[in-house]
Amino acid sequence: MVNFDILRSGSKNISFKLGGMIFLSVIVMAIFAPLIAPYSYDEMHISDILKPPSSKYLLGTDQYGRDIFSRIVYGSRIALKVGILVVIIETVIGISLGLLAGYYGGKVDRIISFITDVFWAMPPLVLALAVVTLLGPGLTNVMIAIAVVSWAQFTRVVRAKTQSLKNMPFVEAGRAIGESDISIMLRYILPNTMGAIIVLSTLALPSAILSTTAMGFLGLGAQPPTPDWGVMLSEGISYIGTAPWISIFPGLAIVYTVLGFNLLGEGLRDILDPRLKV
Amino acid sequence: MEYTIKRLIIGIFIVLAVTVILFGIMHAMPGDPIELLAGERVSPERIAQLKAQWGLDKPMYIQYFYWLSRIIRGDFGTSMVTKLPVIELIKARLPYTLLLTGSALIVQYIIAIPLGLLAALKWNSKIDRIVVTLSIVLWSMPNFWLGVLLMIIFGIKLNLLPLSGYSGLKSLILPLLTLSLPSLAGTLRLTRSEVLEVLREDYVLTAYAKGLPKYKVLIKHVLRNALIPVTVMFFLYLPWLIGGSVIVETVFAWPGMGRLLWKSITVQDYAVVQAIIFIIALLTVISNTIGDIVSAVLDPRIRESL
Amino acid sequence: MEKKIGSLILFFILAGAVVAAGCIGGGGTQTSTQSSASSTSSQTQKEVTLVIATPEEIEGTDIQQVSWANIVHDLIFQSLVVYTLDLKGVVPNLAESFEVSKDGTEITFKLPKDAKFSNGDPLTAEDIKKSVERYRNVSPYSEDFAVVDKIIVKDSQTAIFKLKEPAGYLWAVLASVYGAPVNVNLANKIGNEAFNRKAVGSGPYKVEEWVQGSQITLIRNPDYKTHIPFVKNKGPFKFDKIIVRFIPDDFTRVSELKAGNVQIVFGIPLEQVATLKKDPNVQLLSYLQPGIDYIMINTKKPPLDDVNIRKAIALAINRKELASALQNLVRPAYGYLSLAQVGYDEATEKELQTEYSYNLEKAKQLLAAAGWKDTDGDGIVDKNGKPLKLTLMVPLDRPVIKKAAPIIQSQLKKLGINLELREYEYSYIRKMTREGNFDMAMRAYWWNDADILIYIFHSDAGYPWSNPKVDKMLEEARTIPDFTERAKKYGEIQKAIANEMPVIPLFSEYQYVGVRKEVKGVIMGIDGSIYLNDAEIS
Repeated sequence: MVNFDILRSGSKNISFKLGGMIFLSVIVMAIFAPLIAPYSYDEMHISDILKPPSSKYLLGTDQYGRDIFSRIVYGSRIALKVGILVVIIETVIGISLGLLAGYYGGKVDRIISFITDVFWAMPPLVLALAVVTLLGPGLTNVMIAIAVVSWAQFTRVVRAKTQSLKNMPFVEAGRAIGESDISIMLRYILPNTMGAIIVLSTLALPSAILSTTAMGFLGLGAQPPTPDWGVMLSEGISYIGTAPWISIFPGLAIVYTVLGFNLLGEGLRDILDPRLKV
Repeated sequence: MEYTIKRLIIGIFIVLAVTVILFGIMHAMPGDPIELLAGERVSPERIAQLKAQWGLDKPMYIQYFYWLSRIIRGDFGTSMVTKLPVIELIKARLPYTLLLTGSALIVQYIIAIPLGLLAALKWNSKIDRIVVTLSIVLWSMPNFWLGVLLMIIFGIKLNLLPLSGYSGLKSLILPLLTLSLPSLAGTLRLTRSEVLEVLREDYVLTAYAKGLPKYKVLIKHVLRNALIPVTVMFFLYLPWLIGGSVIVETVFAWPGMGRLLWKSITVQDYAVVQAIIFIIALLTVISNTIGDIVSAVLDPRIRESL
Repeated sequence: MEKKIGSLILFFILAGAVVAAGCIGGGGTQTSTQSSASSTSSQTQKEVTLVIATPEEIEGTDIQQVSWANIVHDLIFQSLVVYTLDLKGVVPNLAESFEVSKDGTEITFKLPKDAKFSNGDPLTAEDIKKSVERYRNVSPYSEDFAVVDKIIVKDSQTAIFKLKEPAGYLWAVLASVYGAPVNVNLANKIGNEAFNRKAVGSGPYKVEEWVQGSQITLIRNPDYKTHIPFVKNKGPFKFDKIIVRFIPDDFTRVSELKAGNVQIVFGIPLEQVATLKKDPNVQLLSYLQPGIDYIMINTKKPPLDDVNIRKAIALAINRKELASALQNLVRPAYGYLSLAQVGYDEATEKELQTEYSYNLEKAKQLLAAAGWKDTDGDGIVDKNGKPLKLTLMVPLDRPVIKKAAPIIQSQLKKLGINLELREYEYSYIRKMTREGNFDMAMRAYWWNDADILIYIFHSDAGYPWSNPKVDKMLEEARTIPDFTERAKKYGEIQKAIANEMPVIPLFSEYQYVGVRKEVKGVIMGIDGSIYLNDAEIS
């Protein structure tokens, strides 16, 4: 799939370049967190509670005297992990249901479309909250909840693409030489929907990160002392009058990362599939 | 027509499925409202007794059918926490949510449509790029963070606006901005891409060729057709208009539906949660159907394919 | 055709605008009621209004149907008696006088002749009896009066409570708003639902209007009369109106106090105390939590079934560091009762303090004696190759406890215990602890009488730990009528519990009520009960 054409047009696409740079910087931050962060993310300095940014604590300290900069650096690992895992779950569910519905049509299509519509009709945040309350708090359950809520758009797109592809001559040709249904779906149709899937995934990633932080904000996220950006932000809110840095900086980290992924996704769409509507 | 009826019948089943799933999840959640409310001084026996009073000792499917039969009769039930009819709680919160979401939607349209149009007309220019980039930046902001930021700036540092709660129309401003700014990106970009598409259509080119004044072409042909999807999107916003935003209402202590829903989930006030979800699901199905019909009426191409 | 489409679009956009404009109109009417309310507070000449803010909206106004009470109920209802401000005795409130028989099984209440409910209905001994009967039917705490065998109405002014056995703990209900008489006849007439919306008692105020999600307006009861000896004004309160606003957001609530829009604010959050102490327009009244925040341990689950491990954990918790990290807004607790409870015994707490104060060395020795040592040098103790990993359930809806949890986590790490935190709703934690499905759980209790211990440590309470000897002592202690004797008994009980350490006491929280300086004469007891009888705006 990846060929030099894409890279060449990518180098011309500003949002792709900018997004890619942000994306790389977040990855570097996550991988080298222990080297970048001056402290560990859970190290408390009880005598240095709620200190404003200084040379000792670059972005200040929180209510336990933990270094906010270090926590944000380590937090990039959480954000990336959540985003990527959620998108993988979503794509797997979305692609398989979408392929089945689009390829077979008829009853299979009607059942799958019904299920998709049902999930579409539920307020996403409420469903996610309910799922997390049901499964118990913790990052894994938050990821499951967000994936459960948001796979439907993948199914819709893949289904539509499959429908338009299944009667194409090259698919007919595959059928003529006796390929099985599964083989046709995976080897003939799927590769041709890849462009759309890559774009969708890149755009689903930032929204997964946003949803996780929103859940963290409502108190249903990673467990302390995990440096989840959303949780950090929400804990900081009670101090906005006296120590605004606790909530401002994690928020900036979220915006930076999400913006990077959004730009990357936009760029990819322009390059791979300009007509795709998301 | 036949298509519409079919859609509506499927819609009823969708709403039913939604309520069944939520009923299941709510009841499978650990604990129940009685347990949640009872203080330290309540014995296990008394808890069992109170549960029986509310019918919580019955099997789940029986509880569901009780609920369903009440809903069909238009009775939303009673809140286990406040012991007041659910409909009363909703009536108290709905105006605040409508005020917030309704005005947010208007603001969003007022800002987004002209900007989208401008960006499309100046396609690939500096203005276009600035507008598009700005919309991506707004789109990337978590709305709770934006809310906190606005609170710090306008509420604390400048001390211009009330921080939260509802004490007159002045307190509407911050939640309104928080709600509309991130979401206007969607409308803006939809307008932009639709206008771009229409601009390339034959009849627009013909109109220009005929020598019609530019603004006339714009209003008569371009905007009118490009706004079809934007109008359809208005209907898709209906459930949200009623349901409100959990996050923004929580940040600003706004006495609306979103917060009622969130609080009811945390104390597992089944009747309230079920009622609100039922309304939202129903509206989602209805608005999707209306959206389809409207686009069919407005757009002859779709109507033919129905 | 195109014209048609255009007008259609125009129609929809207009329709949208009309819908939204309608909403604004709807909101507008709300505004006007609100602004009229606040404007009355500024026109102090004619009508004096006091505005109070509380974090949570009441469940209902009927004290017998709700599961928790706040200032609203204190204003609507009037208990027969109240505790003295230091909790060392009981004095009359609604009752003119009361008398306890020598054997402690009979309490006689004398009502004033002209006692009335706030709607004007007469309040007689018969109403006292009916109130208790209704409480037994509708309240979640119906068992509060379990010890009352029957109530004899001697005459319209005299009600005699016949008890099954002497019950010192019954005062906690009788002296609280829960035990206050309600207008049962009215409740029966209009139904429980309507009564819960607009309940009637004999308190200083009556409900005028309850705006859901926002506030409740109370107007003065001109017939109110009290017999509390420590207030000067025994008649109606000095405010024509009291508005209680429900403001869940901490920051807003405090900002409203600073701005002077609200005169009394309950639930001042920890992180705002320091700033408010500096505010020249605000005074902070503080009281101690009548109860403690604690860690419950599952004594049935290995390795926590070993008392040495439990004691090691107790010794490894540095309560002083904990308190300073919480900006000294908590008072370290070593016993199971707080200063602000009937039954507290200072000598006992001192004794427990010397025994269980922070001592990491001793804690490590205890662990080592139980076979837990750090053999692989990773900082975590292990036994038979398994590291010591425990889970602590943390209530996410109790801010102070939630804040303390990561500190305890880091303190136990020094002992070599890997403590994982799991945040849940408080009530869920209560349920899981009852089912024995936990390692360690952070909990709290609030009740101004030591009798609460029976709901935590008695075998009937349903928690993992119990001890027949402690069961017996608890049953005995509740029947002792003398305040000092009772406190001594509860001292013994606390020592017996600490000996097995099923629960590690952490601290009691200081609570703050913010009052504008212009409001004078607010009286508060050590357990936080508040009396506005003499209060006025200067």
